Amino acid sequence: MSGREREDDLDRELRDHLDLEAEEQREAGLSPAEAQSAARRAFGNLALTKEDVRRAWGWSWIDDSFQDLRFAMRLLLRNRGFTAAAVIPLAFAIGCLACTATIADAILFRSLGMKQPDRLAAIYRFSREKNAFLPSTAYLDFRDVQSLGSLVEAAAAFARVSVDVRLSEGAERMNSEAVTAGYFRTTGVSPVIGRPLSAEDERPAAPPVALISYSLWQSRFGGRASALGSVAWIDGVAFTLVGVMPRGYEGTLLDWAANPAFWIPLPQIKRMLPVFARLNYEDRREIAWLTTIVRLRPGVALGQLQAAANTLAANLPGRRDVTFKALSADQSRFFPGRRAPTVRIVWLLVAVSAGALAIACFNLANLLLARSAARERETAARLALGAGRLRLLRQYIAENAVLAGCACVFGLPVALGMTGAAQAFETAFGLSLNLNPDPRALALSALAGLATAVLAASAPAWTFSRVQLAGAMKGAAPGAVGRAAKLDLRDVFVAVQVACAMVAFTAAALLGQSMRKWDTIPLGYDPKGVLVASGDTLSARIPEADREGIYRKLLAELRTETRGAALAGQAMPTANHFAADMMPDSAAGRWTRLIDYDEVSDGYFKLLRIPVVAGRDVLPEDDSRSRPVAVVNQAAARLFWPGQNPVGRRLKIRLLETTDREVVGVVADARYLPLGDPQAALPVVFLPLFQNAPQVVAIHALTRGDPKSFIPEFGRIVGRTVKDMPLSDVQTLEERVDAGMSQVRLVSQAIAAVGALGVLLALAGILASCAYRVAQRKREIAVRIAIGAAPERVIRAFAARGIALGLAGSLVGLLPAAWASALLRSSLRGVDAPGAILFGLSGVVLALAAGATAWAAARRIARIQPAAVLRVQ
Amino acid sequence: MSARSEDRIGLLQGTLDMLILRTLRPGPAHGHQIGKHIRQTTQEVLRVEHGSLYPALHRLQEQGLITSRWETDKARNREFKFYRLTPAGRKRLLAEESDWKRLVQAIASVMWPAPEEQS
Repeated sequence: MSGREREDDLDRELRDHLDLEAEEQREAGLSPAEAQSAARRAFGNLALTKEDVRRAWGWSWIDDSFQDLRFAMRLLLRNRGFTAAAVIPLAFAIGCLACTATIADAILFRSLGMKQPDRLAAIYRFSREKNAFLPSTAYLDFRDVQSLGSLVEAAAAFARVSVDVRLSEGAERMNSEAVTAGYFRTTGVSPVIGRPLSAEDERPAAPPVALISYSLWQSRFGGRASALGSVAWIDGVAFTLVGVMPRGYEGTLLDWAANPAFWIPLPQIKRMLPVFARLNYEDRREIAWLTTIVRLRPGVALGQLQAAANTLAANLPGRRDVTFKALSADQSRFFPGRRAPTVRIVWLLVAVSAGALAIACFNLANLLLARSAARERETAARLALGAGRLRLLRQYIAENAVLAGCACVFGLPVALGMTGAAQAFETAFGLSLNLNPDPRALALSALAGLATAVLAASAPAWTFSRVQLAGAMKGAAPGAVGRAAKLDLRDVFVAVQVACAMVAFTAAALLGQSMRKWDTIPLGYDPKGVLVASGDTLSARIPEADREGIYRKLLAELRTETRGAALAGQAMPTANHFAADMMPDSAAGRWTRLIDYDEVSDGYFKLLRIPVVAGRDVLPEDDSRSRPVAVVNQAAARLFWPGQNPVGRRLKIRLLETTDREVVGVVADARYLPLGDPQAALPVVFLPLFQNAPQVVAIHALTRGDPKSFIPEFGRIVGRTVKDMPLSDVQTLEERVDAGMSQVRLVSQAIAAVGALGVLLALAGILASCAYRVAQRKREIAVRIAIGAAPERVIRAFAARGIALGLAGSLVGLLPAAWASALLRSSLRGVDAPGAILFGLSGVVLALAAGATAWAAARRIARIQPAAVLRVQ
Repeated sequence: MSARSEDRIGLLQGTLDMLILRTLRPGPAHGHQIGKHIRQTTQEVLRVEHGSLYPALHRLQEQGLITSRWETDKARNREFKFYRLTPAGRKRLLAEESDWKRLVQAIASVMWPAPEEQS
């Protein structure tokens, strides 16, 4: 029998009983009406009996819960306004949290596909002098680490190399990892089909072989096994595919450009990039370009590896400054120097979404409190009809569970949408992240949402235990005069809401102010009208010897169609500068480590409108046949030759070969980093492009009109000048400058959204609280007005309370707001120090808004008709 | 009414089940009949609260001691829910009866000791 049939059955049975009883009473001489009520009296509490019978059925608990849920659903559907006000903020907060949890999980925790990652470690060079990690290790460093056989089970070195790939038609840029044969034993990754690379593949004469990523296998080979044995042209070398990496495995690093699609034996790099053939990197300690990873033997601790690495470093010939540092696998998901800022911004986002959750929690608590007050009479009635308090509490919990459930359901699309939007902010992290829907993150957020609902519900729950039957039934409570003056829980919640809003509001204001500041701070160059693209001569199979000629031709062609053109090694601003050790003639044999440099063509400074403050610009005549020269910026001049004229001085630069250059000019400082401080500009040395022609150049063009509309023409000009050169990163310089702000923008948009929600809900809270108070004290107000008080005065008295709440909340929020802005400043580049004015203004704005809201709510007093109110009550 | 209600005795915990089972021994009956029967046969000394009769009936049914069926009462030409004993119910009634007899005898032997011991 189903539950419904069973209920009907019981109803029918009890009705029969009452009928029979009434019949007997009628036979005893009572009138039909009297007989009926006598039967009911004799029976006792019908509802309670039914409850007892249901309990006898044994499954009442489940049944009750089911009923509770159904009832709750009906109730919430009936009060749509309430439901929306409770569910929407909570859904938003849950979505927010799910999105940040997905990001945090992808960045910090999600497995990268290595076996037993607890036994993995990475070895990095560390500069004592700079107290900073250096980005890479030399091949010899890797060999040294590999020789620690008692600690290390396997070791590998690899580098990510951007390559030009031809599979069937057309060339594409893809990333590859050039790895030593130990890569597979070290990571524990084994191909899904085919074989891993072996020591055989590392022999100089070995035929080139490669493994491909699972996604490339799926997209290009349809996941067919016939992919093995086919040929891929990588940087002009024919590689035979011998294996496919497992699904989802995309390298051990998150932040080294795009995920690799190919894995190739390290020595093959000599065939692909002829410069490496001459370099002899295997024997030269100063050529550090590899990342070294190791698999520790079981039971070996990271500390033991570190100790061994210290010994290795101590035995390094000549380089006292450099030590080795061992990093555990969870640390080495990033380049070591970059982990901390990434983690900080992740926690910042988590803090923002926790803030959203807190706001939603207080909003819900407030709404529920208001409703439990409104339902006091209903509760009393149900108690009087025999409902147990525990039973009512359960009913109440069910309501909140349904609320939270709805919020979770609605939070899901919010979460997916926001995660999708966050993908657009990928540059903010500088990582290639796997932001697919993350069940762990979703479950966590749903749990947090439920916990929030339970927490919010706990405040009003105990009001049930306080309901005074007699008083509530008579309706005494709403009119009670003495009680209303007390500070009640709702006021506290409203004040806390205002405080939360204050925190989010000041944070949003601070970020807005900082973003505006970055817009007004001079860049040191003028990006207006400039179009930039990156061109790769190697992909175009241009021999190194022809590069200069091609570059000159390209410049000449572009200059006929534009107001100016120039080439550089890299476009500004960028976080990834090339750097080299340098030694000015003032420094008596002491190298300065890693000073940034760039190669620029003639016309570069003019195009970007960077003034030459001393000496001369780079000239077209500065080429490989003329004497080596350099132009420095003011910061480099200050660093190398403080207080002296650098023009005419000499500067040694240690690139692949060491050159001794004459400084011929000084240019003004500019913002080289995306959020660089122009007051403390980086020292940068500029080399004439034709003296040191790079393989990849950033092609700059100062267009006559809108640079965006010039893009197709730009492509045509480059295409007809240089055959087959792929252009990438085509964008206006203004877009490039703007992209540097993406981290600040991401956080500021998130905080602005949460701030807006917080302020809105806080004001709604004040509105509801005031309106409730007016309703509660209607009789008192009516009496006051009836005996002559001016309604305006009464309104003012009520509004004052709202203003007081606003002020109190703002004051309480001041301290966490100060803390939050300090956190923001320490976590994000480019955030200003907040001034007292900012806090003061935020407080005043909030308090004013609170006051206005309270006033609006209190206005309804004017509509109170004393006569009508007093007659009814 | 009030004079009579003083004569009424509250039911001992657990005895209601036994009384219901005993009432059903001669044959099936519906709820109202069971209540009425207990009231009448005890000359209204034991008056079962209707509210507690039905939970007890459903509890006994859950325990498998009685079954129920909607059957037409010929006299009234109307369907009622009739309860009847199951074999398990009969067994339980026997056990409870003998327990009860032992209890009553024990109490009686304290309250009214045998005459030979009295002397």
